[in-house]
Amino acid sequence: MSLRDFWVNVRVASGLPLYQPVVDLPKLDPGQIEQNLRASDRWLTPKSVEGFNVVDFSFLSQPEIDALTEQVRRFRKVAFQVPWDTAPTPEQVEQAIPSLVKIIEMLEFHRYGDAEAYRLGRQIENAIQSRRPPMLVELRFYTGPDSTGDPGLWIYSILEEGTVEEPAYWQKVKAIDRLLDSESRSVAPERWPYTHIRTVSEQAEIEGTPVP
Amino acid sequence: MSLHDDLLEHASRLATLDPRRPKQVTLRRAVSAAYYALFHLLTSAASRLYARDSRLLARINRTYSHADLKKVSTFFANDKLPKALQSTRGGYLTPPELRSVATLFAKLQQARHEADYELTQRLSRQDALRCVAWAREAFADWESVKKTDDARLYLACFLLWKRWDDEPR
Repeated sequence: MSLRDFWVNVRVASGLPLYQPVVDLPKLDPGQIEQNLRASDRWLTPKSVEGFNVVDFSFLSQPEIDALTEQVRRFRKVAFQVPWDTAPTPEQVEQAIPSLVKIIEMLEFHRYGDAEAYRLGRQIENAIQSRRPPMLVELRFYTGPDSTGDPGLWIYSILEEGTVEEPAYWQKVKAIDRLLDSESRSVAPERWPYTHIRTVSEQAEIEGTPVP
Repeated sequence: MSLHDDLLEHASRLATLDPRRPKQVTLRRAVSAAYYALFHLLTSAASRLYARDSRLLARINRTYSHADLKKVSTFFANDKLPKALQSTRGGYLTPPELRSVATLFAKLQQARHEADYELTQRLSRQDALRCVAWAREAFADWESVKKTDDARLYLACFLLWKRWDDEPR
């Protein structure tokens, strides 16, 4: 069991669409997640958090590790009370929903396409934290083979609106590219870093959410 | 103007079309043209290592493979050379401008692949504009490094890297 197993199990339990590209997903809404979970109780089983091992999360801060561990513990406590041959009671469902919602929120499925992207993306975000340019609003990551089969890491930067004609804007974009490229090569030297950019309004339009 | 210069201008025009709501097809073609601008710049330079006659150059141009150019670019982007070219005295350090060309080539190739085949994801205008900017940057870097032996070695590797990367005989 590994981080990947845990990731996939929670992803399946979340009821989120499995094949939508992560970079086009709207930000996860806790209310919507709850609504998804109330539509079925099949997720209320220990299998939904199977594979969780605290040692796989060394790239998170200690408070984050503690919070995730606690939510998994609470979820398991309820899930193990449900007999294998009986549906959970409405009370058990209500008890388990808050933990699973928090776990789903912590894994940020709208920003990380897979478990490896979560591990690498968080490390890159940690590494650039003190130098993060203010115009860099959000980062999204996924991994996979590139067009020639080499391992790749895709990094999408969502940026504040900029003027194309403004030279300073492109210089800033180039600086962000270089920063991400260099950190990515340090964190994942075996992967080609492929960076993309979108402005906040472009991202909103792609997600189908209101343009800010 | 040469084909590669024309392609770069074409890419630039496409990336700025439809100021309010750019069409996906326009942005995708802009990215593809930006990649092919750099591809033709490099392959035409590589062919001129072997011939002058335009018909012969065109024949040689047809022999390059996108995957081979990506492989060679991966070597030079990572300060590496095929095995037979490696010095026993130490590692290879790619000149910065050539490393930039190799890196941008690999990135543009992937961007072009996504633009042409990855239809589940939307392309942003910013991405298309940046690909054009990448191609322009690669053109400028190539201009400053093209007369060096490192650059000629990079070009020669397009056709020879497999032979040079085999175990020494």
